[in-house]
Amino acid sequence: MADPTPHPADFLPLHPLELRILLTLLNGPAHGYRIVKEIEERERTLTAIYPGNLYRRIRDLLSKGLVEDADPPADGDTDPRRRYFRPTALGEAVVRAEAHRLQGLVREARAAGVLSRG
Amino acid sequence: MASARAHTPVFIRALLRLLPRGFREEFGEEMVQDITLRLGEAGGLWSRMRVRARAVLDMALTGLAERRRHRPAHRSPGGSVPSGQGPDALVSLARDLRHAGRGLRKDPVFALVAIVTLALGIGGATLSFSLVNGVLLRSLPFPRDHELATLRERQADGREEHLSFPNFDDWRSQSRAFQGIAALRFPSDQTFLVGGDPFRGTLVPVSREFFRVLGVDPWLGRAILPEENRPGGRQVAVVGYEFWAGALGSRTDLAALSITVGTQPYAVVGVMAPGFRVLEAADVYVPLELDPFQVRSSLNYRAIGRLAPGVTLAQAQVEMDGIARRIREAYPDDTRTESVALRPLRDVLLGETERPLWVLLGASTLLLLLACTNVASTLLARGTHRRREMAVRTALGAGRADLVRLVLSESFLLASAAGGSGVVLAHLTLGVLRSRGSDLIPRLGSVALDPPALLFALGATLFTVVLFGLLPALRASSMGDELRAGERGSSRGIRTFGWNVLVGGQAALAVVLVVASGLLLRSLAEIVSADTHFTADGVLVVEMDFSATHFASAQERGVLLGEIKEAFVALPGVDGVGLVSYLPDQGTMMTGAVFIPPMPAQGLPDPLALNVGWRVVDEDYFQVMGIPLVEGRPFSRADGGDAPPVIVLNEPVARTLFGDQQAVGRRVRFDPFWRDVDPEVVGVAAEARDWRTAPGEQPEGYVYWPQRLGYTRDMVAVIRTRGNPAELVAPVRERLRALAPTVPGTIQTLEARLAASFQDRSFTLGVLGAFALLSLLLAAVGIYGVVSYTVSARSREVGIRLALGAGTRSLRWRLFSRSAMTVAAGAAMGVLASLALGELMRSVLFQVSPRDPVALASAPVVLLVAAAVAIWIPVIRHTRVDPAVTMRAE
Repeated sequence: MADPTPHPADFLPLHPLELRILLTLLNGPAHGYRIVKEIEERERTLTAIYPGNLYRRIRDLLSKGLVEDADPPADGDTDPRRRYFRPTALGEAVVRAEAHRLQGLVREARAAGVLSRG
Repeated sequence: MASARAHTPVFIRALLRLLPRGFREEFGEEMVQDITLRLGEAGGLWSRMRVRARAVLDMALTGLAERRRHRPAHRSPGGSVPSGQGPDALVSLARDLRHAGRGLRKDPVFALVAIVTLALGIGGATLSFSLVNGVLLRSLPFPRDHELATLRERQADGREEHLSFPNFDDWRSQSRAFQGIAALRFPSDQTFLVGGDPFRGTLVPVSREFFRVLGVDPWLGRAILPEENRPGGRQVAVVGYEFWAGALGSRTDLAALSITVGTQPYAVVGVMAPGFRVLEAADVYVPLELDPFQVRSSLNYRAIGRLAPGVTLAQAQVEMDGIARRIREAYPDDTRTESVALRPLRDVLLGETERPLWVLLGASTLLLLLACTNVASTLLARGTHRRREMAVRTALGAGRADLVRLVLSESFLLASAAGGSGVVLAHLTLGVLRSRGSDLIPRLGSVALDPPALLFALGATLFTVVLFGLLPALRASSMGDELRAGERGSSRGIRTFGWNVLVGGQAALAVVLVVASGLLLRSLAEIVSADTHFTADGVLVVEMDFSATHFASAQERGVLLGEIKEAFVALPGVDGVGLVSYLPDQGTMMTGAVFIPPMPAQGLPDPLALNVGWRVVDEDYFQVMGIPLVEGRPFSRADGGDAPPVIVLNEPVARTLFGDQQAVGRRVRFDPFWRDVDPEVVGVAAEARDWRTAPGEQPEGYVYWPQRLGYTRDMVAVIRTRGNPAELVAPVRERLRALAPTVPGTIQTLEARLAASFQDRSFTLGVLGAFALLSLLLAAVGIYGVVSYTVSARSREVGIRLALGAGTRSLRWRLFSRSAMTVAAGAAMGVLASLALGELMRSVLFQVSPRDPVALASAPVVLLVAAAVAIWIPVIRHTRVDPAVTMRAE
């Protein structure tokens, strides 16, 4: 992290919850609970994400410079009292890098016959 | 911000304390918002509880993880490493617990004994609480259950009886205080034919208000309609869930279902919800008013009424008494009912259980207290061995607070382990209770280790920590002071008063508990040891049900019964065969009124009318069952045919009616059997009773069966055999099938029949005995702990005395008698407390006074013997040492 220009690959692999948070934030700035609800709606099999877990990840993402504070979006039911987050440019690059990495892994899994061809 | 803060549960904010400061300051507010939103989305109480529980877990784990993250020297500037004050609460708690765990592992026997002791205490208290909560505190499964009351007829002498149908009919049409009064007949065991297959079950005819008064709709289908429940109505039935699931195979096409009772088919129209029961569980409800029994003196109905809104029971009482008076004036020859006895349904259902359950809760709370004092004293005793450890810790710089925390953590660990095992124990015991004791305790099905019970267990555990942990903790702290000051633990330094209170208190508690169990054991023994006046040995019983077979007349059924009896008599190995309508252990099923004629003139009370159970028997029944006749003779064949009516009374009835005078030769009126003739008493039989009934509480009359063939739809053949009765099961079944293929029969030995109820008895005895033994054991262990502590604390004094030439024997005696005196004083206080508390137990005792001298005297004696051993062991051990060694050790 002493490197002034960090490379996206330095941050891989991402913790699954960190990846989910970043993916959610790609849709626009959101506060903690909005993030949680969107993740839970996308993946219903996931057990509920409680705030302690969530903010530890957000804190890590902030300190790694992948996420930053944002103004509340002008549209919709925003709550000015809440803290909103959005991905940094680096953060977006890292999500892409992580997605590619995972895709590669999935390909290997297919080749090994663990996954059927979808 | 302010408004959000105001709506946030305080509890969530408190949770934030679990987090390191930095993290809390950065994200705390956001987290509170999130949890509040989640709580808002959670619907019911349960899901809110779940969210809270998850939030606690989440915060605790986050707190730990965050701290661990900062531990390895990585201290970020904005980080959360606490400054100068020492590590913050959570970390040091974890550390203390780890230390305490290590300490306990070094002494596994102590830890195990302490955990088992406390688990028994917490488990017992939790179980009693869940019983009290589930049985007594929860409302009945009927809407507005406080409006429901039972109604009974009260006779001039104050005795309460069931109702006759005509009285019920008048009551319900005249009462305004009740919005409805419903009648039920007594449940009767019947054979139901479903698609040709026989099923045994219980039938209860109910009046047309039944479902409306209770405010309960069937779970499936509909209730019996008022227009179906009147003379000439429809033969329909509502069945219980269990019967529906069993006999009816859970079929939902009710319209296609029909069940036949005797020769009468009923169309099934509804199914009650699982667990529905009113006074007893029943399988099939049918209309009662198709052909009600119109005799005003036949008291075979029960009634439940629902008070009109705003009407109190007292107001209803005034109105009902007026109605009863008018009825009596109108029918002076037919009813002896002076007034109406009203009781809240709740009291009727739970009344007998209420006191015993509270007593149980009280006793198990005492037991928990005893367990706490016991572990406290053992911890203290252990403390003496740990003085060196404490000294080392103090030398290494541990402060007073550190020592207290260490000792408290030990208590906390012990109590948590005990609390967990206690809950498991309570759960297992509840399972056993459910399978065995469903007759003993009503509503047992609704008892569960639910959140309130678990909360109680948690409370009991915390209470335990404080109670048994605090004294040793304070002790440990002062020990630190002593050691730091270099003071020698002299006998003077020990505050003997506190120990005396502990020893005496344990003795007193144990005596109270042992006296209570002793009283219960003695009253149970009274009931059980009283002769039941019949011999079950070598008897085979054949329960036959003739209701499903069509007979042209009762005479025809009588002929078949006679043939069956002859066939059984002819079997090899059979000594005799008797017939009876139902067995003694089935208690009182059908009742009638017995009194000395003539019926007194109107207005005069009839003090000698008795509501008695009756049985139809043959001439051999008394002999085959081994029921002795205390006066007169049994029935004989000469009483059959057109002979004048005769009757055999049992002893309680004869004594009530005739006192010490001879009963044989007197005439009595026996409603409803003979209304125009008064049968002659030919014999008085001993009271053959169910062992669960107290002696004298099963008044009965016997009727000779050829004289009343109409009452022989259910008959039991009792067969006395020479060899093993079980060997006759097969031939008996074969004969029955050959003679009466359509009559279902249940064949078993009488011993096997009774064994089920005897299991209840040995279970109850076992529980009580275990309770007494446990309290004794706990007290003895506790006394042992304290005495070994106090004696070993005096080891220096002992050493000096021995060195100065004191005789070992007199020294031992001195030490022994000092502790024994304390125990004796405690035991005396226990006896006094038992005397004071005894009145609470009066209603659960039978023929034993709460001041029973045997129980009151034996408890302290037993305790003193146990205590003597508990005192003697440490005294011997600590005086056996070489004085020089003790001195040097100091």
